[in-house]
Amino acid sequence: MGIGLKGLTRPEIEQMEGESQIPGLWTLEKAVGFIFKWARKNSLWPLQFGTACCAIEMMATAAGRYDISRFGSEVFRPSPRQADLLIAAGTITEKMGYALKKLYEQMPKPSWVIAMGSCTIAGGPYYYDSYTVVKGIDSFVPVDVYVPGCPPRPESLIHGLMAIQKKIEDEPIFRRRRNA
Amino acid sequence: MTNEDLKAKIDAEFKDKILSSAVSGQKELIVLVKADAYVDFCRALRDKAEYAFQHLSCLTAVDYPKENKITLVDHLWSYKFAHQLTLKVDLDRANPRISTVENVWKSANWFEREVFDLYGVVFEGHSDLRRIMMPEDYTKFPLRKDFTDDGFIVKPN
Repeated sequence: MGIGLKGLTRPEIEQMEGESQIPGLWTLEKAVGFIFKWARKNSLWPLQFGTACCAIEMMATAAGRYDISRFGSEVFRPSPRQADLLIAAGTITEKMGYALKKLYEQMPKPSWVIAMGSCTIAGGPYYYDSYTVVKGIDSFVPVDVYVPGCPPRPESLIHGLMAIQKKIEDEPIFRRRRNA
Repeated sequence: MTNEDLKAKIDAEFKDKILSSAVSGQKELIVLVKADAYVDFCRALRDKAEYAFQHLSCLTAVDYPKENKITLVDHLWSYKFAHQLTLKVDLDRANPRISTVENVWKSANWFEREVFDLYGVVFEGHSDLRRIMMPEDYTKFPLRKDFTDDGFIVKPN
């Protein structure tokens, strides 16, 4: 459990203080940051958003054999307002892209995004000759972790989730989300 | 009733409505219909007891840019006799328009919306002719052979 910030120097934090208009960010970060991070990373609630075959792997990950609840992430929410992890599992078409962006924007910040599978990363098997599939969701939502595979196995998704947990640990608690 | 019998019957009865008819190598009866007799022909096939095509199982289109036409393809199916018929209509590619068969088979509603969406065929008299799959502000017709778009990457050979 890290107190303080990995990879960020004090001047950088002070610059963030200035930008965010929150005084004493560094002190807060040092005093209570680890509690926030501990709570956040062990209770990631994913949004129930599966659009294609990757969703089957996501369901398998949530089910007993792989059991994502070992990482505190089993509470799949049907509402974006209760979720803080968006697992984009499956092909995103242009029309679904609008919905995905809206869902992302409705999630309370801070929130994280996993792009699961080839389709969401770069279009996957629909890269060529497709007039609907978006060539990578990172063109309209900020993606934190890419999980490659077609579809990725549940172990890969769990690895992706652990990467998110690592990211939460390494980032400042008042980190600013970039807008897509 | 075999497809050959059905073909002979349709040839005799609808001589003025059809352009040609043939039984393909896969024993499929294909009838090319005149565009202005399309709806009447469909209604007759549905209503007459000896044909009884109650079901429109598919309605789609094919683009032939070299011949400058879009062919509308209907697949009809009869539950009563278990026979099938493929119905084709040639349309002008520059301005593809045809009457709707929504009043004959209800299921044509969404099929025609799909053909409108992907090929740009306008169905006159259709109750709700909107795009069904592409975004509503989309302006192109993706299944036409000359389709290009910004995000559309053609597979190199």
